[in-house]
Amino acid sequence: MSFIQVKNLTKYYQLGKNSIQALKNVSMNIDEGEQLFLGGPSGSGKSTLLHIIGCLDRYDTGSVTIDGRDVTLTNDREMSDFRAFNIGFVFQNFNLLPVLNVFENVQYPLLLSRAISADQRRKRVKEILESVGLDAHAEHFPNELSGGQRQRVAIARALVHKPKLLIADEPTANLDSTTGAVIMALMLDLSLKHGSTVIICTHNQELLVQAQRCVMLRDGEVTNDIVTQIQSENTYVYA
Amino acid sequence: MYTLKVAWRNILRHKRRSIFAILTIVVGVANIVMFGGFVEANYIGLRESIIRSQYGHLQIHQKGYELNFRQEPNQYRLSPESAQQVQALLETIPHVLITSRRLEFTGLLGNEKTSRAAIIRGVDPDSEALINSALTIIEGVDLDPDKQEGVILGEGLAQGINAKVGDRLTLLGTTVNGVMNAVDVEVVGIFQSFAKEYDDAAMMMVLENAQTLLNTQSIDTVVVLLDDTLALPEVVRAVARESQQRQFDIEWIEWFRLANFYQKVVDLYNGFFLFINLVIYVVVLFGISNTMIVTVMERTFEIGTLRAMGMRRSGIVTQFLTEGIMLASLGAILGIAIGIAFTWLINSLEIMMPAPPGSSKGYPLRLEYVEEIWLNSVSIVLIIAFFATLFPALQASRKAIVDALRHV
Ligand SMILES: Nc1ncnc2c1ncn2[C@@H]1O[C@H](COP(=O)(O)OP(=O)(O)OP(=O)(O)O)[C@@H](O)[C@H]1O
Ligand SMILES: [Mg+2]
Repeated sequence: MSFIQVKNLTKYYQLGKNSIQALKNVSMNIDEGEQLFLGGPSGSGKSTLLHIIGCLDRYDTGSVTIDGRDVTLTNDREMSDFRAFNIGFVFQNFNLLPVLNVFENVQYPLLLSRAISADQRRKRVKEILESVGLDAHAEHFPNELSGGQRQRVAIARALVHKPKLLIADEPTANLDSTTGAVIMALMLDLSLKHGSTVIICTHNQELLVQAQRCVMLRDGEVTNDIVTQIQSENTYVYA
Repeated sequence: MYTLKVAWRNILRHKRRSIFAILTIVVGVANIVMFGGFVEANYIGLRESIIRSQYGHLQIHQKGYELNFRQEPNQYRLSPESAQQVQALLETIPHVLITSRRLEFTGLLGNEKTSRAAIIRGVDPDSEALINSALTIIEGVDLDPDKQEGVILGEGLAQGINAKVGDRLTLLGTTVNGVMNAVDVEVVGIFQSFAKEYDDAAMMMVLENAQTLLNTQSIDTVVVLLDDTLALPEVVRAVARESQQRQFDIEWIEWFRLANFYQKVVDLYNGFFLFINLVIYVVVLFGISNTMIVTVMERTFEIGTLRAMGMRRSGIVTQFLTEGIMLASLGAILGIAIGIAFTWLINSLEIMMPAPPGSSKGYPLRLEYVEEIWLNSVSIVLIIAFFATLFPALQASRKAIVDALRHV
């Protein structure tokens, strides 16, 4: 059984009297450790799908299971706890807490999942800051960092608690293309090391073409689901 | 969790907004501290002036006096022996400063032209002068034990019979045997108490002269003055205990049971104070809820992020509640401090206030330090902050995560 199973998923948005069908019968299986790219034109339902898989939103029909768990059968509190332990998010706008410094921002998920001691926490944060190359900036606040640095912090924060699933909604859209490429490579590399499954949605054609697995959406429907076996793992890692 | 850290840093981050909210609370609380202190000072002033201008702290009578003295004034007086025993007993009780005897009756005061009914009080001049320290002699002098025929008249009574200091008058009364009797008196002074109605009919004379007129050795009342009004309950307990032990046939009445208008004044002032409190607290409520609504709105995206990271709804509520209460605590504590500082300042300036109605004397403006009011206002502000923050915080926590994330 696949790590993530999406079956006949539909999602409607109510806008006044009109309802918009954002997802139509979407189905896909994602294996553990897989790195999946989600593409498609604006409004095709990429974010909607990510939000549902990330347990942030409900859907109308169909089913989504992660690690054998139906993610909508639970109440808000259990959903929150599930996210805290199992999912990391990287956002387009970095979404760091402005009043917390780099170290504190990265440590936050460990406090939310309350799984480990203070000593281990500090060690963990230090390690991951080193691996994103920001150990020297631990005391800095987000407004003192460049966009690329902020996204590195966000990646560290998303992976610090070793989530099974990393979800990134256009993580490089606010970065220049060079920085974006480096950040993307870093994110994929780190999640590979952690064994996290990754789902990234992007408009970047280059990334989609190079992707191990690429799912294309249009008007809420899957139009293409390409798995490229021949792609060697290293190709994009240091792109 | 970072709850406290995040709350504190956000307060610092939005300085202008925080200062505005804190200032609202500071001004409100400081005003409550000062106005409460003013009201309390008035209670104390009124209380002490009532006690010292006529009632003393405690009046001791023969048992049955209160119920019967109107019908049978002569039947319920304290005999000279009882009076002496009572005074001796009182002298052993801590906080008793002074005791004084009184004989009360009505008589007819007149000269050749006119006469008036008067409420007359025979007193021990020396001790009575101490009990009546709030009584002002506006003309002439006070009673003198060595001048037996001397009397002092209330201002209104003196005007009523057109009497001046130095005038000789005749006082008519009924002896305890029911015989009309008369003594000659000389006006030595004219007084003003706190109540004009009383001054319109009141007269005081030396006890022995009054006893001569009534042909008795008995007295109505032993008046007791304490060194501290707050010690009254303790003194009353001691009087009850001791008098029972010695089998004295006495009863007593405290000043506040005699001066029921005091309670009315207190109720009136309390009403004012309550109203002002309400107005201030409503302003504080709006100040805090306004600030917190803006704060929550502005941090919508942060709420979305934290929720995505797995923070529960309760975590969001706790975060904003902490922030609101932190803000309110700062304001309340600062408000108390500033209120106290201003109280001290006003007291040290010794601003003179105009004479209150029914009195001839102005008095320095004084504010009391009332800890109870401080504690109450801090607690009330915190409770207000709790509810003013709770609703925006609950709303924030219930927002759909995806909508919150989309909000920039
Ligand atoms: N909260 C919402 N209320 C109403 N309609 C919505 C809402 N969110 C998304 N939609 C609609 O659902 C459809 C899919 O939106 P979605 O955001 O998933 O697209 P997307 O592929 O992520 O687009 P983009 O590339 O611009 O981010 C769109 O038609 C959009 O207008
Ligand atoms: Mg999108």
